[in-house]
Amino acid sequence: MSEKKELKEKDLYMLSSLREGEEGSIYSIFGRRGILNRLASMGLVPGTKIKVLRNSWGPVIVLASNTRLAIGRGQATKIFIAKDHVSPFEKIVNTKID
Amino acid sequence: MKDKKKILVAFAGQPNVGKSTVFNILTGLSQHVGNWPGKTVEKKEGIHITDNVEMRLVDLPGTYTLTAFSEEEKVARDFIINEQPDVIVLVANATSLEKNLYLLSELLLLGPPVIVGVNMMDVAEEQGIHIEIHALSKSLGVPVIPMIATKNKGIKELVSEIISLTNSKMQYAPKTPSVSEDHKAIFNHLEEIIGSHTTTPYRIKWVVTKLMEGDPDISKMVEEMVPSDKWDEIKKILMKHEDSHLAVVRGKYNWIRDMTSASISHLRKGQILLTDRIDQVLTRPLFGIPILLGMLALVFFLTYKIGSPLQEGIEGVMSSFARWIEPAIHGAPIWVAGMLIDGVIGGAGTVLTFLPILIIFFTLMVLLEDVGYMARAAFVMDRFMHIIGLHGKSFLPMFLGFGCNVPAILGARIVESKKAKLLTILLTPFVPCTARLAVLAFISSAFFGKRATFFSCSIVTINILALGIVGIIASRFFIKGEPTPFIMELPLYHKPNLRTILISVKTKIVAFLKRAGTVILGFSVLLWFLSNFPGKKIEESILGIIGHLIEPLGTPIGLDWRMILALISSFIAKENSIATLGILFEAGEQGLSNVLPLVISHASAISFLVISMLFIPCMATMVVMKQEMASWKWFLFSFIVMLLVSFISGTIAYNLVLFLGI
Repeated sequence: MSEKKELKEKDLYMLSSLREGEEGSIYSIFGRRGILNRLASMGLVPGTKIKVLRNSWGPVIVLASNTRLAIGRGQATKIFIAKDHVSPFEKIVNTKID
Repeated sequence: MKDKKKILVAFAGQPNVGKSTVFNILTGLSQHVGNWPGKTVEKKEGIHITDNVEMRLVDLPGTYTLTAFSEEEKVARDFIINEQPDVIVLVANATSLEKNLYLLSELLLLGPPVIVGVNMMDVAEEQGIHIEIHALSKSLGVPVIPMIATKNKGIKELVSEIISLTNSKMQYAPKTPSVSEDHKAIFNHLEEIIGSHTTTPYRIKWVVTKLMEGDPDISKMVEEMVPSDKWDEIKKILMKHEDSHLAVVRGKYNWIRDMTSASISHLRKGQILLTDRIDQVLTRPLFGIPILLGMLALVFFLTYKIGSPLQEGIEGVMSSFARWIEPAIHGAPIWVAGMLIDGVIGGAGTVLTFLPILIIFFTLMVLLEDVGYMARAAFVMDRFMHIIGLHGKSFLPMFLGFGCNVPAILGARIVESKKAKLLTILLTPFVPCTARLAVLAFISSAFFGKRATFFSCSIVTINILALGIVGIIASRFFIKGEPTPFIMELPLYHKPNLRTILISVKTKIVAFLKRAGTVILGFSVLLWFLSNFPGKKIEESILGIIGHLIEPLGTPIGLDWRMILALISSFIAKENSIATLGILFEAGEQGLSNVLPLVISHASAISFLVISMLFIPCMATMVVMKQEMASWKWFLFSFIVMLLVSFISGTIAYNLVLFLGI
């Protein structure tokens, strides 16, 4: 199955491309397991509702589960956000970079 | 007197929950701070005694979870598994309780009974978050204590709960999380295969969970534990269900939702918090960067405005103390007197005189951190730090370096990735500490009078440039590798807590005193010997002989043997170079600023300043660098880099000034 095609079909955006004040929920995260677990522990998992507080220069600041988190731009391009109601937990993209 | 019952209590919690505050109240200022054996992670321990119980309290590193992702997390979980504390206290932040329960979901599987202390209840109420403590406790099946640690509330209740939990075998039946429904069968299957092979202290449910999470340490452990055919079977299952780690995460979040749905209500929808309003300004680059620079300038201004008079006062006291003690040891052999006055009192005096400046500097820095500002500083600096291959987080320890490089290098522990930590340590010595700045200020005002500020600023700029260039090169060619992502919590702004600040400042000052104090004192005595034997004059001493031997090295950088010796003596403590120059030019310290311009050219003076600002750091810093890098290779690498950078920069500066004829 082509992941990329799927991403295009659904209305998904990279976290880094959202504008300040926009809200949505995390649809999928690319990354290695260690990083995914770390993000999960900070409340960032598929399904988490987020609001972008700052996205201009430097890391993106999001509000997630009542916490403000600064996420580096590099990582923010690997987090995909669904602006409308794509069912959470539906699909996770987990690519191994070795 | 009957023996008190002894119990072991571990304190766990995520960062920014006020765990240290609770821990400090219980253990008092007498707590013992050290390192976890073989690790560069700080370990805090203390004792709390009640009428009939003696509690040994261990503060686990603040972690979001207990994976094998970072050293802190490994330390925390290994401690719980191997030491099996009688009680674990999870300190949670009431304003983000859901997220804090994630750590609880990990702790509950480990076995020892857990008490949840929900801290910052007042802040949560202010934010319109209401927590039904009883409902929460009932659904979790563990004791939950509401707390406001900054106001000492809930501490007594926590202590009595700890005691009653260890006293009776009262029903402690926590509701633990499990994997999401769709993976339950796989979980049970794995449990069945591994079941009979797990031995204490490991719990089967935890082992299977970690296996499904893909935890490298536990996978390895299970591989060694079970017969190879069973391991193959396990591997096959895990390969087939590659998304099983998400089932674990999903299970945890489902559990958290179930636990909190009836007990937490958020009323603050739409309410603009103070934090959001402040962040509107502080995290905007247009304002954020100038405000950061302004804050830092203010920190320096206050430090020196208040600290310098105090420093001079202590210098005065020390020299009158030396004069007062001189007659008392008149009868003693000359070398005893010399060693005592120049070595011991001189050395200890040096350490003491820097205390006021360091205390003020660290207090201001810790204050900024405590109110929540430093996380924003790291955020604003992140872009710049990327240029040198680092994250915003490294900015915090590096900036501490302006005070003293020793706590700065110890502070690099907050940087998660090993590579970034190494690079942070490598670059920190290029940040001029108070002692280097003191040398800079003295010499540039001796030579350049009114233009001294301009020259001082230029030379500090050279330091920052050197830091940048070394960072760019090192991160591109030597310390390469995939960067770990930058994720940092921006805590809510809150009123500073005096107690937390005091304790944090104390930790930093103790680090300085312990390392710098002992090293400086020891080497001051050694230096005194080297410069007084075998001949009476310094030219005829061992030090003088060494100086003359290496004088040729000084030709390209325009330094004579006396300046080279001053440089070498700065290895013991940076400000020693002034004292050494004073002795070698036979000027006495008062006259030195008048003598130097007569015998040294401007080119040599600037070369000397550039080199001493970039030269290898003091002995104490080097010791800490070696310890924190935990590698001879990188330690020697940074040693050579610093020597080369200072020598090359000195050569350029010397010839440039000669050429321009300044």
